[in-house]
Amino acid sequence: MGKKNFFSLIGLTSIVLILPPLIGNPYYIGILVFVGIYSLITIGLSLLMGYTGQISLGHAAFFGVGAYTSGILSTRFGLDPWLALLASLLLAAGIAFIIGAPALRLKGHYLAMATLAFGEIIYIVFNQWIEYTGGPSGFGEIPRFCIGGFSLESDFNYYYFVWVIVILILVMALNLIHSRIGRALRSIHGSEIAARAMGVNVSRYKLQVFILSAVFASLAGSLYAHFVTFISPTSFSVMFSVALVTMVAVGGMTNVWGAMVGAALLTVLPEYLRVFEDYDILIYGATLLLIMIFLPEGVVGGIFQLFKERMTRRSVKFTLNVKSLWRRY
Amino acid sequence: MEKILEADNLKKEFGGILALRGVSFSMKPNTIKAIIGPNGAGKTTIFNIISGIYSPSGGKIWFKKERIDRLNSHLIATRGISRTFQNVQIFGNMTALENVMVGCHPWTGSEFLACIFKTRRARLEEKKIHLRARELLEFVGLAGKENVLASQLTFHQQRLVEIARALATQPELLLLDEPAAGLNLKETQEMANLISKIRQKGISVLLVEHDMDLVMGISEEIVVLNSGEVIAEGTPREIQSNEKVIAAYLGEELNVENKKS
Amino acid sequence: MTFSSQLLQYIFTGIAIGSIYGMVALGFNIIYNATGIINLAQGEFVMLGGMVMISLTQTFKLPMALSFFITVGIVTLLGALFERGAIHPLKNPSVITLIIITIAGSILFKGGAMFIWGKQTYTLPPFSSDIPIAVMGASLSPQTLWILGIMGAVMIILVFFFGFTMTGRAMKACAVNRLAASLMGINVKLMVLLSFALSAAIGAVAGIIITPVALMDYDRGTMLAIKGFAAAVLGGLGSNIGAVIAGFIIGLMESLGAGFISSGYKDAIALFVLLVVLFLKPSGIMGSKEEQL
Repeated sequence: MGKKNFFSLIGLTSIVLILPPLIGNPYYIGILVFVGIYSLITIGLSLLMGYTGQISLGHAAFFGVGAYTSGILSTRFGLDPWLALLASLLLAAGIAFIIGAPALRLKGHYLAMATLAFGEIIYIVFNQWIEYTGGPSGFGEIPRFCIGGFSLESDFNYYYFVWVIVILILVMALNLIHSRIGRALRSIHGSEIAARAMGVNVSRYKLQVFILSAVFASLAGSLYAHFVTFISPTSFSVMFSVALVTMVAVGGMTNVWGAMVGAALLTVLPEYLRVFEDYDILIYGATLLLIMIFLPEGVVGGIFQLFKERMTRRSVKFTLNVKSLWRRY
Repeated sequence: MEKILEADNLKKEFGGILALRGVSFSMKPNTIKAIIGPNGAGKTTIFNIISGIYSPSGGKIWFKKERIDRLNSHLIATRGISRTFQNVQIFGNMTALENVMVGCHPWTGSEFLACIFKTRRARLEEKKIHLRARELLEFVGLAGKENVLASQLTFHQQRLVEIARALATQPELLLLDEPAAGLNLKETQEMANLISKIRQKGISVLLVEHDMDLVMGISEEIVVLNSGEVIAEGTPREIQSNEKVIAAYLGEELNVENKKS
Repeated sequence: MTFSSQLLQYIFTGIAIGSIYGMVALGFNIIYNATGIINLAQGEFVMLGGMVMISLTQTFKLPMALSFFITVGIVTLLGALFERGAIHPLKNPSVITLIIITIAGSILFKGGAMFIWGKQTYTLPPFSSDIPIAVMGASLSPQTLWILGIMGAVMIILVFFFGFTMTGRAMKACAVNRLAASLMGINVKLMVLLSFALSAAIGAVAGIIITPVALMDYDRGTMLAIKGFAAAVLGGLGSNIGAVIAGFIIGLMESLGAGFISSGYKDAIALFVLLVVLFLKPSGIMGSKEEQL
C-alpha cells in the first residue's frame, strides 16, 4: 500500500490508542465514537466520488437501513446483534444493486437523482411503516453488541470497538486503491474512454464501488444503532446525505484520509458552533459552495497541493544555489 | 490466417450526417496498414467503430473470423485489439508506470475481494504486471520516467506512454490514431522505427495518419478515404500514382514539405 | 360521492399538480439542453416563486398582477446570480463538481428561505374566485383552470421562443452541439446564463400558480425537484413535449394513488416511477437511445 500510507496507519493507530486516557471525559469520547462511525461512511463515499466520479445523495438512507434493520431484527425478532448486522449488510448490498444497476448503466449523473429519490423513499418508509419502525417517534431498547459474554456498553469500550473496525476498513480501502482494481478505478477518473479501451468494464466497477460504499454505510448504521440504542427517522434524512457529501468534499474526494478528516471536522466543529444550530443548512451550503469553487481538492488535497508547490519551489531554489556555488568553485 | 480484420460495407450516421457511406477493406495479419484521407473523411470514425466506441449504422466487421461490430469497448480489448487516441487520453492522475499497468487489465483477473484481502494470487499478479509495465516503458524508450506523473510528461512522451499502455494489453491488432501528429522531424523518425519494431513482434498495426513521409515510409498497404468512401486501396507506390487520390488531395498540402524541424 | 365523481376529483387534482411537475421538468430540460448539467436547485426556484409572491401580496400588499411579474423578475434574477456566482467562475469543472455546486445552491436557497420566512406553511388566495365549479359531481376549483391556462401560455411562449427567435434558436443549437454553436458565433456562456434565468422564471411561475392549491413552505423545493426530474426522465431528458406529458402522468398517478391506495406513501409514488423508468426505459417516452453507455 505504499510507505506513506503504512506509516500514516501506524500513526493513526497510535493516536487512536492513546486518546481516550488523555481525554478522559466520556462525552468527548462519545463524539470520537461518532467520528469513527461517520468515517466508515465517508471512506466508502470517497471511493465512489473520488474514483468513479459519481455522487450519492442517499447514503443517509443506507446508514438508516443498517440502523433500522439491525435495530428491528435484534429487538422485534430477538436476533443476536451480530447476525442482525450481517443481515443488514446483505440487505444494503441488495438495495444498492437494484438502484445502482440501472442508474450506472447510463451516461451522466442519473445516480445522483436516483439516490436522492431512494433517500426520500426510505425516509418516508421509516416514518410511515409504524408497525415496525415506530414511525416518527422511532423506537428504543436496542441491545448492545457482546463479544464472548462481554457487553459493549461504556463509551470507552465502544470507542475501541468502533475504531478497530474503522482501521480494518481503512486497510481494506487502501489495499483496494493500491491494486489492479484501484488502478482501474483511478483510470476511470482519468479518462473513461481510455479506461474502456484498456478493457476496464466501467459500468460494472461503478456499480461494485457503489455497493461497497453502501455496505460500509450500513455497517456504520448498525454500529450506530447498537451505540445510541434509540433511533428515529430524523437522523437519516436527505440533509444528512448532504452533510456526508460535504464531509467528503471538504476533506478531499480522492483521498480516503481526507474523507476521515472531513468526517472529523464536520462532527467536532458543530460542537463548538452550537450557537449556529438553526443555521446548519446555510453553513453546509456555503461551505460546499466555497470549497468547490476555491478548494475543489478539499482541505487535505489542498494542503498536499500547497506542500508540493512549496517543495518544488524549495528544490528549484536549492538546485539554483548549488549550481551557483559550483560555478564559483 | 487469411485476414485479421475485415470491414464490410460500414455505414455510420450521426443525426442526418452520413460519416461513412459503405466502407469495405481488409487487412492481412502481421502487416502495417495505413488509412489516409483528407480531414473529415471518416478515418477516426472507423477507428471508433472498430474499437467499440460507436456501433455502425450498417455493415459488419470481422476480427479473426469473429463479428465485433456490436461489442462494447472493454470487450474489444479482451479480444486482442488495442488503440491510442488522437487527442492523447492519458491518465494524467497516475504515473507513467501506472498508466501502462492499467494496460495489463484485460489479461489479469484479481477482482474486488481478491484485491481488498491481498490474496496470494493478487500479489503474484501484481508482480507480473509491474514487471511487464517496466519492460514496455523501456521498449518505447521511456526507461527512467516510470514514476513521473503522466500529466507532467511532454506531449511526445505522453504519446509513447499511450503506445506502451496499448501494447500492455497484449494485442494482436494495434490501432494508432495519428501517432505523428505534433511531432517534429526527429521524433517522427523515431516513431516510424518504433512502429516497425512493434510489427516485428508480430503485432498487426493499423494507423490513421496525415504525415505522408511516415505513411509512405513504413506502410505495406494503404487505404484512402474521402467523404466516407474508399477511393483507393493498394501499396504505397500504387496509391502515389493513383489519379483519384491525387485529385482528392489537390488543394490539400501533402505534409512532405511542411514539417516542424 | 359516487365512484366516478371521486375519480374525476382525483383527476382534477392530478392534472393541477401534474402541470407543476411538467414545468419543473421543463426547467430541468432547458438547463440540461444548454449545459449538460442537472440543476438540483430547480425545485428551489418554484419554492421561491411561491414565497416571494406571498411576501409581496401579504406583507407589502401589492396587487396580484403586479406581484406576479415582480416575483418572476426577482426569482429570474436569483437564477442568473446563481449562475454567475457559482457556475461561471469555475475553471473547467468536472461534472461531479457542478452537481455538488447545484446541491450547495439548493441548500443555500433553502436555508435563506428558512431564515427569511421561517418554517411555517403559507398560502395565497386563489386568483379568481374561491367557489369550486361543480362538474359531474366533482368540484373543480377555478385555480386549476388558472394553472392549466397559465401553463398553456408558458408552453406557447416557449414554442415561439425556441422556434422563432434568434436567441431561442441559438439555445437550441447549443443543446445539439456546443462546439459547433460557439464556432458559429453563438456566445455559449451567455446561453448558459440565459438557460438558468429562463428555468428560474418558469419555476417561479409554477410556484406562484400552485401555492393557492398546495400551499408552500421553505422545504418544498427538494420534493418538487425530484418529482420534476422524474417527469423529465419519464418524458425523455431533453424533450419538452415529453416533459409536459410525463408531468401529467406522474401527477395523475400520484393523485390516484393517494386517493385509492394510501396518502401517507403518496410522495413515494413519483419516486418509485423514476426508479422504474430508469430500470426499464431510461430514454423515456420521447428520448433517444444514445443515453446508454
